[in-house]
Amino acid sequence: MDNSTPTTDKEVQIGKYKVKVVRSLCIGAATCVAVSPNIFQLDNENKAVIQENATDAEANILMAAQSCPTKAIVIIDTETGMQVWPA
Amino acid sequence: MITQADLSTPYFPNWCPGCGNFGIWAAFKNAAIASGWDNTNTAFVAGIGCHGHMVNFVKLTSFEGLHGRAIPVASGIKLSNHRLNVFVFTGDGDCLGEGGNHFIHACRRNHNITVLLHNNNIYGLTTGQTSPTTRKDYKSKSTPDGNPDEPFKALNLAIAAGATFAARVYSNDIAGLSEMIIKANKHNGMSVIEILQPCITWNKECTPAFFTDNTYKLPDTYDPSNIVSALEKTLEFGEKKIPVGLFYKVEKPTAESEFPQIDEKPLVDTPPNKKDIQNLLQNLY
Repeated sequence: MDNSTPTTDKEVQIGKYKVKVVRSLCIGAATCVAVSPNIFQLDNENKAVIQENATDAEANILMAAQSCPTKAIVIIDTETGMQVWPA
Repeated sequence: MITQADLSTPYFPNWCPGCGNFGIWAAFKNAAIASGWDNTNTAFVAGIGCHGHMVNFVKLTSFEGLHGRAIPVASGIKLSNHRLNVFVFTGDGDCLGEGGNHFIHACRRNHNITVLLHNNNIYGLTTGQTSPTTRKDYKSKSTPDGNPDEPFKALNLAIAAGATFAARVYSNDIAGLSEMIIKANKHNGMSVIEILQPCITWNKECTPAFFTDNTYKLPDTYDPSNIVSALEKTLEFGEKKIPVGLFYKVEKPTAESEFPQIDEKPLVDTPPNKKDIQNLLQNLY
């Protein structure tokens, strides 16, 4: 369980992706943590939070988002300005 | 040194988003990395069910048994080469339904293997039918008027049948599960970890919130060597009353230690002791 300050609903730039966890949607299924533990951890309320200054392969971050049952992870490609996920 | 890349296959899990199998998958890989499990020292067997796809997502020597038959394959592997770390991935249906007989006798014989029992209280792969751990009165496709049967309490059954290590962990406690898998593998004997697992798609009761709200860790004062208190503890289940942790651990001779033929070296390293059986065959004709 991670106790660091949550970055909920705050967009974090990771490589070319801007990543955000919509806290109200997160149900603590922890699949994002299983897929990309470098980027995602659960906080004390069992909500996913993004680790500051963390890195992971872009494909892995995208898979972590796609494995979320409530589509609580939003990814925007800052090179194109397009929302990559949810598509 | 083992890395995530060493354990990765070209396939990303096809489990439903939010499936508890993701946590088990991550916890097992973390345990393998921490313990140095690779193809030279480790094998695993999976049964039939969503959990069974694990063979496609962890790059270790692995087998997928017939429905309910993962445990006998694993015990065969262990008897052939008892130096291997041998794991079984099995579901509540696979292990306690189709494979119930294998499970109780593997526990009774105390095979030195580790069973990871994915318990989502439902048959997930076949779209949500009642399983041996589904609660009484639960309505599903196979029991539209409610489940008429009482569920198995998996750890109670394991301990009563003779397992010498019995624990329960919630699948989304990835660090805790990883630690318990390592502990179970170090134990010399039949280790059963019941993993409480949400099935996001088919079981709307056993959700992540249900497990986080209702599980509690066994206190430090709990004595896992006492079989009576362990059996009592396995009966506890309900609102705010689902214990997790190590329920029972005791040292006893393993099935493998009962065979003098493999005292010195594994069966796989022992050449066949060829004998002329012509005389014996002659007697049969």
